[in-house]
Amino acid sequence: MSDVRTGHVILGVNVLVLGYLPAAWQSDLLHKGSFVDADYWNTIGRVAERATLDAVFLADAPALGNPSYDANAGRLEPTVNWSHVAAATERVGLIATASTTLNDPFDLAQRLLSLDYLSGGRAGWNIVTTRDASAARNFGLPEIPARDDRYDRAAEFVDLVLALWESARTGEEVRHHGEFFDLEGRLRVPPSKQGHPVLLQAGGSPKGRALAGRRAEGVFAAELTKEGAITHYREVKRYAADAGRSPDSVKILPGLLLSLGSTEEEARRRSDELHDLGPASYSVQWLSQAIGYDVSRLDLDAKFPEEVLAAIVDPASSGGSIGFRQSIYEQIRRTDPTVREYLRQTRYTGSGHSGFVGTPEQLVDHIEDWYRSGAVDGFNLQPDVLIDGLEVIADEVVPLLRKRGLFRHEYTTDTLRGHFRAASA
Amino acid sequence: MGDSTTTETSAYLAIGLGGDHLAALIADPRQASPLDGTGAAFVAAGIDRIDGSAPDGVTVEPTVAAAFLAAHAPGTAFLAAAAPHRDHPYNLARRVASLDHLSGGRSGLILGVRDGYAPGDTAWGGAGLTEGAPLGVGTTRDVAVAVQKLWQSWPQESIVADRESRIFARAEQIVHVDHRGVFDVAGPLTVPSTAQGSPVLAWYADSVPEVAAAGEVADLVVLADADPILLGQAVAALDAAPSSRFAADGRRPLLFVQVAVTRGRAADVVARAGSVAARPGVDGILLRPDAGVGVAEIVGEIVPRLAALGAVRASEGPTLRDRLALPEPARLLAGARPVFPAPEPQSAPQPAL
Repeated sequence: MSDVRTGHVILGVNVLVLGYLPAAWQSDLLHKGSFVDADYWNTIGRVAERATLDAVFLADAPALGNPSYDANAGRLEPTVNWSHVAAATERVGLIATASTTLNDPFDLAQRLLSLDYLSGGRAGWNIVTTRDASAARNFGLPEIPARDDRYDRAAEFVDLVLALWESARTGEEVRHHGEFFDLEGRLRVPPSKQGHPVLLQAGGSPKGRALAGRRAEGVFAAELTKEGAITHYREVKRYAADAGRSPDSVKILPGLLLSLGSTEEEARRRSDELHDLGPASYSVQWLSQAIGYDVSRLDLDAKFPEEVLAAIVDPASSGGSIGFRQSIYEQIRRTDPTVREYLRQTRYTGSGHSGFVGTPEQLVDHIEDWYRSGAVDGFNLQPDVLIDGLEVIADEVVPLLRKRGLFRHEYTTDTLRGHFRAASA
Repeated sequence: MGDSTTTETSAYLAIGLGGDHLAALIADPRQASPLDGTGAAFVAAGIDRIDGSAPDGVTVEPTVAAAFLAAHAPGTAFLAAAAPHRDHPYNLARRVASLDHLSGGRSGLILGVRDGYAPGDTAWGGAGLTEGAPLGVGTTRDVAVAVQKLWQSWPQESIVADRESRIFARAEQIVHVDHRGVFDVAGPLTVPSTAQGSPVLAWYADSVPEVAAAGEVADLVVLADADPILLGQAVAALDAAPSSRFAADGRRPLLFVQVAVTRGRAADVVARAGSVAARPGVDGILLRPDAGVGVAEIVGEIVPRLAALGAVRASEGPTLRDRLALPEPARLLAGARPVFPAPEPQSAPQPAL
């Protein structure tokens, strides 16, 4: 942990379609079809590139959430979406989330390597295992397999994808006979300029972190506190070392929910207005889904009951990502809020992912503090509304980071793996 | 069209590109823009995948290749070639609908029964989730139906984006597809219907049973070759097929016939293509250069000569359906199960809690 840390931060933008808040579609800068519009997506790619960001990132699940009040429920398929953006950009990395549970490894390996080829070596794959039962039913499965089984499958899936990417380079057939997959064949996609797409991992469970340490080059983590982030940072780097890899070869990039303003007050007002424009039940629903407990049944003015807190971190109970649940649990323990207080806090501090509401200058302080403390290698920024939020990142945040020597002035590398490596130089 | 309301006598033109062509166009995308000047109704991307031939030396997955090329050739429509081999209908429907949104309604899907680049002998069995299904006409037909239902599951008209009530979508109009067949798919899709309603659905067929199945479920059939007996049977099969694709207005799917283009035989190709285009029941021809013939040769030599002969017509219109004068497909989901309740108008903004 040192002030002698060299290199620079890695910055991605998690493009949660129009922005992370459900009311993002109500921006005057957008029209009702923006979420699937060719020009909208080109603009996102181009502004990210103007900011010399390392990558744009798309989360994904193959199922439709309720779009009644939220355009972000509508989701273009990430590999196709980024192939479109690849034609409008030259340097920015393009990270697509794809499930190891609901894909065929041959098809996905071929598609990701195709994206890598047509983008000149800018593709990344964010590996997820999918928890959502409605997604399973789109694939004829009554249920999603249990968490441990999903991670066992994910481990074999990733190894097979890597072998197939290798086959595109060598021309030699893969002969794979494993617990989940049997395959003899090879890919005929032209070789990638960066060797193969960059692997990222998003789960926060112990098996997820172990997979990250073994294979991933980036971890899209969920961290609410700097102390928790430092612990997890060391844990993943240790897994990498145990797997015979350099700790530098895996980059830790937590999500950071953002509302920015020219003063702290303006930023809070922007955040409040956007929250108030969203559906009234949004935060109650969000928390219910995340922790697998119907929060509307709780007394909003009482503290969280002990049994609810215990269930949040019990891996056996249902609910969302373990990484999210762990970080929610830690935040509640730390501040001991009533339910109402907690839901209000999450407006400014995030829930699951860490949140930040303030000025570009304060944000840069925050990034520098976490980076220099050895809690992160960078952040995956999640603006409240992309169409103007990303402009502020490009025009204000990034120049401040550059002034402090924390970020590149221009691209010196042209592949995503090249960008990641340049950060630890 | 099956009826004869059109006064046009010349045929639609299409171009089929294999893996080598896709890789070359992607490596130098400036070569893609001249496709815009051909007047072709569409380019079928990755057709070598589904035509039963040996795979080209290299390939690029067709849906992502088409998304990239459609951005570089903004006047060209693309069909992405695919088979339900290692691809699932939900993933496939989603990628093609995404492509259609991003290309402004210039896209579609051309299905075959197997993918020449894919290992294994089952449909979706390689995903390790099920035993998989046999590859064949029945499986492809089932996928065609499932995909079309998914494309209709979220009607674009449901999107109101009303700032007054703060309702983005009348979500009660979104339905499950509850498809039961070779594949079981609950739906809905993650994207709404597109600028042209649904992407165009085509089928690459090389036998009469395939044409007959395609006749029931596709907008358009590409017949592998112009053998007169096969062609006659194909026309008869299409005329007889009970199409679910069109409302009962006497239409049948468009019939395109593939014309192979080999190196150095331009005069031959032009003569052959011209004669195929003039056959009764043929709505269009699809030029299929082999790997030794470059896109530049098709665009610069063959197409202008065919046009000069008056054998093919230039297709115009913002969407692929406009170019082919195809109607929106018949509604497949009447009475389907809604996914979400009707949203309540939100009152004036107030502190949430």
